[in-house]
Amino acid sequence: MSKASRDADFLPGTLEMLVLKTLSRGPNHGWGIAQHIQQVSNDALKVGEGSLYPALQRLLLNEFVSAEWALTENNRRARYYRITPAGRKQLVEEKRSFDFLLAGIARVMES
Amino acid sequence: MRLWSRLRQWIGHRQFEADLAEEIRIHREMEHDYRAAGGEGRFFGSEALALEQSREAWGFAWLDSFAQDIRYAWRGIRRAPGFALTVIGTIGLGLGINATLFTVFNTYVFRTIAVSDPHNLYEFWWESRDGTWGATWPQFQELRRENNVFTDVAAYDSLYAALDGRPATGETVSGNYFAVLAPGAHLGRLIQPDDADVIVLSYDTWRNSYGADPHILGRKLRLRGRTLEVIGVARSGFTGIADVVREFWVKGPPPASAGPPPSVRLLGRLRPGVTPEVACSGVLVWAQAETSGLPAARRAARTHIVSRATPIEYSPRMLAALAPLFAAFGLVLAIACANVSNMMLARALVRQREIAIRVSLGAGRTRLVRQLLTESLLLAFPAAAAGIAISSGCCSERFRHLSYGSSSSHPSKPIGGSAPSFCWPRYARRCCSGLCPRCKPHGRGWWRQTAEIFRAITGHRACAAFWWRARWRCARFY
Repeated sequence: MSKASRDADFLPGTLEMLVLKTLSRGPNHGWGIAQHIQQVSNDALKVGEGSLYPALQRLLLNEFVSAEWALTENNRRARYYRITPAGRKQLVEEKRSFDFLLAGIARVMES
Repeated sequence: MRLWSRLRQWIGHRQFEADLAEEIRIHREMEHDYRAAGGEGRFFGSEALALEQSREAWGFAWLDSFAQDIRYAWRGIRRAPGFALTVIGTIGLGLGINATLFTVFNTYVFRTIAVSDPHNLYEFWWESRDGTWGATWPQFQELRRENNVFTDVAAYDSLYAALDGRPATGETVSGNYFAVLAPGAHLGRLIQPDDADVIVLSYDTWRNSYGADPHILGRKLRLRGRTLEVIGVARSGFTGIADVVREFWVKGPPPASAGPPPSVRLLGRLRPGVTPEVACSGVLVWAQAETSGLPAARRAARTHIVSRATPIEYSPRMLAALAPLFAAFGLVLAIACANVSNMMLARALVRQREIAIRVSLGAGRTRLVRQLLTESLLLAFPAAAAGIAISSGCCSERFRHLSYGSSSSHPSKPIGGSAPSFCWPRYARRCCSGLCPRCKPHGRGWWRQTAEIFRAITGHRACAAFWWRARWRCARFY
């Protein structure tokens, strides 16, 4: 697929976690989510729409986020995603297993 | 929950598509504005791919492609309606006659008669050297008292007579007949040993000839100059134990008349622990003693015992007798399948070009196979429906009398129930014939072309090689 998606989705399911984390700071639209991830990661993670929108659809399907159309500050229509309570629970869960995985990788690399 | 949201999404999937397309367009606009303002842009992926993958996340992409396949197959059928009609007709006919045969077979051989514990019910008789057989009423009374292999023995004999002026088929039965069979009553009660001049009607007779009259009990009916009182209606489904449906039962023995004494057929329920073979020899011993006063040629020489769990006993002999019929009907279906396979293959040869073009345009192999299967499915369903229609037509009222010869008004066993369930497994077989031709004698060219089609679809030389091998194996037999 694309280089960008490889960057952001280097482990399966990571992108969903990043999206949930972004949304836990407040509702946002697709472009805003991609922009936030890129800025916060210091341009290390670039999310292309080819991976962002399927990920959002998966989150919608599992009802971790909800979506509604609204106007942006520039008076443009956009679809805003909002994290649901189930999504917050999922975020905690994913963060825990991600930390566990990261700690494992770190231990192997430092041995 | 997931299923529900999936379903909701699928119902409104036009809206979903529109939303998604709009969303991605806006995303691009924002991206464009951001770049125009001097920001560093991100990678622009394929919009179609993003849409397709988002759709896949919901899991109804296959539904879309299935709908496409059906539309495509439908166009193919519209283009060659003669082909489709021939396939549907051929398979429908093959399925129909097989389903009919099976339905009739099921009615007579597999469906047990509607009495309590049908598997313990046996009919038996003895035969003399000169071929005469059958007991008389006095012999029955004696056997009933003296036998030690049956818990009880009942007697019955068929009776064809005018019941209130209408020709009907019934039985003269012994007083304990209903006690032995225990079929249950729908109305009133059944015949008991101390009854006289009474009649029991079958459920269907009560419904069809007497309008299901709830006050039928006590009504007087005329039969062979006797006036009989209706005391009950047998439970629905019980039509006697013979293969011809019985409409009424009267208590025997019939009034004495000139001519040879009326014979009876005997039914018994085996005592626990007694096998049919033991019962058979027990009856033989009794019958030999009973007939010892007769001339040698008329003495009992053999006894027979058959299960009466079904109207026709399910035995190896019966199967052997019916095997040629089954083989013939099976062959008709096999020939129908082979014909259709040939036709489909001939069509596939013509379509080689089309398939090659689709492969070169990037159609996946699974998609191609799925497409061919869908086409088969589209032909298989109407063919199966035609089969069901034919078989239910054959089993309908109009044709029932055929089993009893030309002018008989006797109803036969109610037939039916199993045709659709018989047809179901055939769908699968029909579907496969679109992919997997299994025909016999063909020239070299046929096999080579089959191999090539398979190679075109699967891309595997191995598969092509399989067909070559199959061809050589067959060649040895020609």
